[in-house]
Amino acid sequence: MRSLLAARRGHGSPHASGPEDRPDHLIGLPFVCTGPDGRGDLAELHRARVVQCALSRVCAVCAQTLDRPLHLVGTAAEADDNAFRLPPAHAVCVDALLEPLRTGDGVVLGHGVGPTSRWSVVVTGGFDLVRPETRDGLHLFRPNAVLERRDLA
Amino acid sequence: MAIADVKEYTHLSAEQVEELGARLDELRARVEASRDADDAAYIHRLIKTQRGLALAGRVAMLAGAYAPKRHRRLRTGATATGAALLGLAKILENMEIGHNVMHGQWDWMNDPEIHSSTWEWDTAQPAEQWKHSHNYVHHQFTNVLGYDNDIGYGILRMAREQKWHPANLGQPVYNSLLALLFEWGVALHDLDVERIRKLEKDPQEMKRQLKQIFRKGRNQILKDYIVYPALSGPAWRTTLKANAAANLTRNLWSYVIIFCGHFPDGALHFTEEQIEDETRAEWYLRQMLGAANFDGSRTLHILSGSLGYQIEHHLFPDLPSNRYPEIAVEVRALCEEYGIPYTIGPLWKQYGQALRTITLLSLPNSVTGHGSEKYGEITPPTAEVADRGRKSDSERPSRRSELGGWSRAGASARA
Repeated sequence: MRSLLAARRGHGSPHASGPEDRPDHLIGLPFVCTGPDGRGDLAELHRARVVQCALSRVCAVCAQTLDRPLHLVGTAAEADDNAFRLPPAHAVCVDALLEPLRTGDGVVLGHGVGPTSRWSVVVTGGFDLVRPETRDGLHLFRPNAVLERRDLA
Repeated sequence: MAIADVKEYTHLSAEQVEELGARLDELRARVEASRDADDAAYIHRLIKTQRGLALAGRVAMLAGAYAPKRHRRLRTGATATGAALLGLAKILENMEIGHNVMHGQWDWMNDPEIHSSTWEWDTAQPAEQWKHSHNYVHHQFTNVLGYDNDIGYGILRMAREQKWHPANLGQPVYNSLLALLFEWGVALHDLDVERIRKLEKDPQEMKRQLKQIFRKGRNQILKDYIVYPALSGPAWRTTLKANAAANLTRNLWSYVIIFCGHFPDGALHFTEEQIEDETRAEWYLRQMLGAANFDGSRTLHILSGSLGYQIEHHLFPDLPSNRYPEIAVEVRALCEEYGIPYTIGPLWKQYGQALRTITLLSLPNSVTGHGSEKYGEITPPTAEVADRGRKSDSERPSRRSELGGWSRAGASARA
């Protein structure tokens, strides 16, 4: 919760109009990985940012207001379970999530990745946010108006 | 004091709290699964009604403007009717439509227009700033002192724990001004006036937000105070006054409704320590204890943006608002079953209590005694806690590394 409180007090109140207005400090790092000081680690999802993206309806990558439809990126298993860990993103921002997931090794964006990993993109009109049951649990995004699913190698 | 020590639910064991959380989860899942064409028809019908009212209001004003001067009664009647219809349309648009659409309550319909990402509402605050200040800041940090800007909107002292300042003596006046100019107060809400005053706001961010507010505010002024009056020809002054009256009506109504959500007796405030690392069930409890409902007819609830079901709205902000009445029946029953307060009363009483708090807290705690029934048998703070205002980044505690290190069971054992 403290990281949530810290994020509330700090930066990250995105109010521009689209991905092209992405703040300079987010170049190269998705918003959902950054802390209140704008710095972060590509390996981890910042819990406060996950909640902020969900409630403020902003993109996980560029922190700008989402457009319609929304794009959710995750493992094929997440798509099967209809429960994604990464907040939604713009269509043009999806590659900024997929590229490190597909080419990285170890832990990327809170996911264990490797050559055998399979990724999916689900396009949806909306989502339901599922808050974690436990203190260290994950927030999950459940698409509720699926338009398309793309499975990627 | 942790949230587990809040007296309203200290009688519950950790297992009971989790059980209550699971039952609310089950309720939520049931409503999610049953969203259907009837719900979609509700919001479509409402938008159609709202637009019809707005159109009728404008037509009535124009009729008043162009009616022969000798029919003075007709002119006045048409203009007054137009202003009333327009005020009603603005109330519906802001409260039951805009507010709820921007929560994502209707995103599941996948409608290109009725969507949280695309909706822009008929008020001065840009939708994007609202989704940050309200959806995120207010709904995530509900009633947490120093975090939730809705506690007094940065200008009113609304909790005894907040430090008193001689400037608070003017609260009744500030409150009246806020009510009259509510649209503009909300427009400035996400700017975080307190941080600007303390020179803590990032100047670039402030400039960007101000530009956005300026653009939106300018368009609102153009629409209501220049374009429509100009269309009224020689009666432009009358149309301008009617538009101002419609905006004023909307301002006063939305102010009253919003102040009834968290300031009546029974709605608790929390501190940073109380919400640290809370579970979903504890988050539910904080929402229930921090919100207050009011009762009334279905029409009253629709005109209030369903915020008479503030408790249910805070539990499930993204479920369709037309389902709150049925959800409320179950939430109230759960509160009774688990012995948790369910704060509700008539609108006049809820607002009266909020107004009393505003008036009493304009004075220091030492003068006002209890000042509010919300403390029940607990001795209220007699001295204000040190400044609960926002701290700088460097003053923030670092994140605890041992996730799950705190638990209700652990807290009980320590007690």
